[in-house]
Amino acid sequence: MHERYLGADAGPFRLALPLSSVRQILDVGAGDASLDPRALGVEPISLATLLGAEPTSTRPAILLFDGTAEPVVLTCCRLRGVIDAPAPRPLPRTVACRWPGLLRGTLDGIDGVGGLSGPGALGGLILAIDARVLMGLVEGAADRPKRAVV
Amino acid sequence: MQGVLVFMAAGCRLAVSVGDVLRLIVETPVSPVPFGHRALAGVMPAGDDSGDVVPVFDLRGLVADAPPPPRHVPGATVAVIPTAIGPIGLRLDRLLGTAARYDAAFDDIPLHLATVIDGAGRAGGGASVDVADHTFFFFSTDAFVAAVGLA
Repeated sequence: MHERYLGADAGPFRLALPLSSVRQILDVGAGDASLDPRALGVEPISLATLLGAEPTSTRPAILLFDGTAEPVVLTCCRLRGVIDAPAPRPLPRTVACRWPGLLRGTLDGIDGVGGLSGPGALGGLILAIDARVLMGLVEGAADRPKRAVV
Repeated sequence: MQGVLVFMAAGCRLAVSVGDVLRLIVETPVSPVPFGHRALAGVMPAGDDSGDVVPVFDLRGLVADAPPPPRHVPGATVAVIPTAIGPIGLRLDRLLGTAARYDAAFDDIPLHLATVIDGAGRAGGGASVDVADHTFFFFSTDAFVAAVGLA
């Protein structure tokens, strides 16, 4: 059974966000217009920064998620389009990372949409994210001092 | 005695038993993993027909005070090695060759990789040109798994 994801880059990470968790794409990013966070009403959080990396875009895309307690606005460096793929293939237990539950696995058998033609099309495997764990990270980040938002 | 595969990694001449290497693959684009261990470059296809992925580790990530290892080294050789909890991919700086026979050696262990080394050997005749008459250190997968917090 296939699932639908939104392909997104966040810093060096090639990610697939469950489409059902993305309430709205507020801004597709790119372009020349400057971003004014005040227009959003909610301070956006950089997904790259949240995941411990440096953002690679000065004009990120902006996504609205249903957070666990309140809506969450995340920025990501680039949108890759909608991905239609079978359930993720779980990562082996030897992937040494601090939040293994964040990653549902890698995507195989991707149908070409939005420039995607296969797992290698993004320059590497695509990691499917567990949105609930991601929102938990957002809540944890909210307890820390604010950092750069885009 | 089983032969060993000898290679350079993190500036050291290391060896693993030939029988402990599932396969050697060429590094393709590696996908970095959020919150990964410093030695974890990322994941890439395991190089077989299963479609599985394998984590690629670079031993330079175990060296304190050294710059972080590169995320991707195009064309690098990756040795896929089984462990008790699954396979790991070990990025090699250079594959040196094999030695069918070797003797125990007692050279000083390189301190920067001391946590993953389990003894030393010295290849005799019948070894590859770059391996013969050189000391190498045995890479311990069990110790490595513990060193990156997987044990």
